[in-house]
Amino acid sequence: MIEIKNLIVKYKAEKGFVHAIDNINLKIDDGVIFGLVGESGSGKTTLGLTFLRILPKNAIIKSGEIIFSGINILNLPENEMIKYRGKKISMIFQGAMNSLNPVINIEKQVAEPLIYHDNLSLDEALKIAREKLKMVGLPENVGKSYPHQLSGGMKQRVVIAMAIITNPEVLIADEPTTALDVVTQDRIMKLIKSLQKEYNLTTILISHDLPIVSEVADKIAIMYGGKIIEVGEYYQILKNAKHPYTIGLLSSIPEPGSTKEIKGIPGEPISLVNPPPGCRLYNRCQFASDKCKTYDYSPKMVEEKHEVYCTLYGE
Amino acid sequence: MVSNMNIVETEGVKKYYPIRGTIFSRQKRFIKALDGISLNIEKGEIYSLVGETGSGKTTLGKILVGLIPPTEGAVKIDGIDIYSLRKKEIKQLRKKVQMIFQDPYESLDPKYKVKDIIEEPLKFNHIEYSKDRIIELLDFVSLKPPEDFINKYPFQLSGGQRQRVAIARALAISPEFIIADEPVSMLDASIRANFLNILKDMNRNYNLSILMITHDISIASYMGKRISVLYRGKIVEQGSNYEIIKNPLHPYTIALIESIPLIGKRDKEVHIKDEISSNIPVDKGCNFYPRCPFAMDICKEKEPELEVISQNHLVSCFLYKQ
Amino acid sequence: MRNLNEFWAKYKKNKIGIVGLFIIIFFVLLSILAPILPIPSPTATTSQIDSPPSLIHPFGTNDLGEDMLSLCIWSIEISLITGIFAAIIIILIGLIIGMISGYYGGIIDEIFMRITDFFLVIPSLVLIIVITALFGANLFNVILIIGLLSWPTTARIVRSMTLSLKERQFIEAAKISNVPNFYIIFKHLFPNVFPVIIATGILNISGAIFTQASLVFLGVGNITDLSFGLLLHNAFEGGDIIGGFWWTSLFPGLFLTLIIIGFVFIGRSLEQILNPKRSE
Repeated sequence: MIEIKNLIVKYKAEKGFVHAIDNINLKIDDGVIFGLVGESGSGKTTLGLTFLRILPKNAIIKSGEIIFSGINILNLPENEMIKYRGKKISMIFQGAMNSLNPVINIEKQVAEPLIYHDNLSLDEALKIAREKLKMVGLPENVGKSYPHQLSGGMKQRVVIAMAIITNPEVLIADEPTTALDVVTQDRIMKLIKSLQKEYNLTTILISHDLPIVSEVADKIAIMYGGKIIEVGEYYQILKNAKHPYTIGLLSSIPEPGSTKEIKGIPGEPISLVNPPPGCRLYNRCQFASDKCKTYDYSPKMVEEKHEVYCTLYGE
Repeated sequence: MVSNMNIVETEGVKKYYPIRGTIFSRQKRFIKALDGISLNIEKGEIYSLVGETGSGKTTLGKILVGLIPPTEGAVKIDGIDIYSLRKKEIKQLRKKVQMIFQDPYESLDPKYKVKDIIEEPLKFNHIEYSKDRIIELLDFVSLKPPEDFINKYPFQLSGGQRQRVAIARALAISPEFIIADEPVSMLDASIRANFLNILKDMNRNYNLSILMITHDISIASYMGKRISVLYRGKIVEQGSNYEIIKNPLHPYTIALIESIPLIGKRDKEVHIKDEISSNIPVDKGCNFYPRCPFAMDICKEKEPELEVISQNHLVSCFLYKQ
Repeated sequence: MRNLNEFWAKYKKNKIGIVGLFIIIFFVLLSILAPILPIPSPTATTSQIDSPPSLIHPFGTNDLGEDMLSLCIWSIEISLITGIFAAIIIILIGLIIGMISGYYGGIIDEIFMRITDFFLVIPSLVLIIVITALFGANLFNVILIIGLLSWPTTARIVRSMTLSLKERQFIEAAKISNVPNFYIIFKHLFPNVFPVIIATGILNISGAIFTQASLVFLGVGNITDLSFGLLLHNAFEGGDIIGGFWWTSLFPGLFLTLIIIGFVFIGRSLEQILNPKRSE
């Protein structure tokens, strides 16, 4: 199990500090697909990077723990962290499919990490690479092809193969389907689901797209303004959302064939440089009241396994 | 001249880009970005065009607004063939058509203030205006208070705010027809609704005709009275919103609708074969053949044509050939 | 950059840029204040010929007894004038040709690019010798020639930038707004190209200064004006180096190098700040 405790991550900017992740707590069970949903500026990508400790230079992990198999990986020295990064915990980045090396064929690229990090011979590494390519549903001839010969969906599968080649325990996928067409998005999501089923791969799915995440996630957490604002089992979030932001998100999704007007949320997110105290949705929330201005983000349990961070549900 | 009920008519519009062969090969091959597009948009209608990347949808938008000429085919705006006009007349016609682009970070000149961005089309179309007009436009797109935004630069605005400036610019000269090319795909979900509703208001209250270009069929259905589905440069299905969504016929359209992630519907099944590789031009037969789960022998040999199935429904597929 | 304050705040952080700025300000001041500095006139010959650096003559004297320090200070002027004016010519021509070529494309682009290629392959030294022989070897001609031979690289950079800028959506938006082409070039392309060209321009200054010094050193160009090239030329021709009189070449060389480095530092740090790849 992974546990995030009181995590605070800030970025140093010209005019002060951007409070990208501001004291969040999360528990992620093994073998679960955990959806982390948030819009731009919510802090979700920062969380993914923090897991692997590959934050940019101007980022500071102010405090908090990420406990993975009993060990706080934020405290590990770099030479220990290397054993986790890319091995036990693997990540797919947004737009990774466009960063494939254009002059090396697919199976060699997938095999590379094994040759350099695990010192396997070329033949051994290629064998494993071909296995993984098959695992992600790619036909045999793809191995000898080059990136430009593949479609976007296929490249994304290659990226996934590269991420799982070390048989990680955890896969972090940051926007794995952006820039892909809807049909391919469906395919990739189904692939992620099948990897979970067959290999008990814990997956943290980071995305701004709630509908896509809702298709495969077992648990969903919603982030806004650097904070977690609602967490629950997927059906709880989708059918019984409690936080005004989550409700607003759900109402922004057009349903084809329906004439219902979609609402969305008025206004803009506040700046996270020196944010004011209290709830960060205050300026956009139709249920806002004075007590929101002093809200301390303490969670409220609205049903079993379903927490919401909002003053509407009791002090 | 009889008053036209269509603001836009295209007939057999094609856009081919030659692929340069080697010095030794004489054969001329083309990338067929658009391969015979015929559609009409009625005055006061919102018309949706659905297609993925590479379908040619953006190319069509640019052809309709006069930015690039078609290789073949006619484009009529309010009954006038725009590519048969002289420069002066094209300028006049431009006053009727405007465009909103996909990328809010690219469609505004970073060196221009908001006020200058909105003034530009007014200035260069020689339309008299006062400062109030700018304020009015900003207010209309919910950039409030407008006075705060007039002197801002794009870098000081969020994506959603920039896109609203883009609408204000497009509406400044009171065009009759707006082409919106993926206007919300780069905006956060919670902001999209507001934006789309502004467009709907313009349509309802000012009879503004809109071509909504999108890859998202849910948005296409939310906005358009009629929908055309574009696949690799050809319209594969065309009809009323209701017909396309409730009764999709073309296998591609069916796959699109099956793929829509609906809240509460898990384990959906999408009937489509995987793409083998990136865009190889299909030389003969139906463009969709490689991915079609219902493909027949004839589909490999001949190209289907758009045929009428019912009053509000056309499809280009041998499954339905009479 | 948004405004001067923000630009200066960014520039301040760049150590190389600050060093460069100090160097140039120092030399500019030296040059401006030359007439009132307590140094002997540069052409004042004394009987102390070929004497090494001392308290009276910190940079020593040359074979005419002239004070090297004074000569060096008075030579700054030519370098600065050459550099700045040549750079202005380069920027002007480069901008116009680059933008028009890049924006209109087609046959105009072909013609302009062939002209650019032509100017690139001209052997500059030969041409300068010929021109100065025909039209006189004065500073004006030299600046003109250096400018006319150095614009191609800038033109190419401007053309590249224009090619990528003209595909951007805000340019398409301007076209749809019926903005005529020349307005698009001057009001949309130019402001976006100019900041980068300023950085290149500053680097061009150092190139021009170096070129002029080299020419005069070789005995070509404006050899009658007092310049570092002339001082080095005289030192070399007069056999000072063989004779062990190192101060008549070291100090002019040092000043020249510092001025060139100063502009390079400023140019480089401007490049870093204005680099279009940097996200906002």
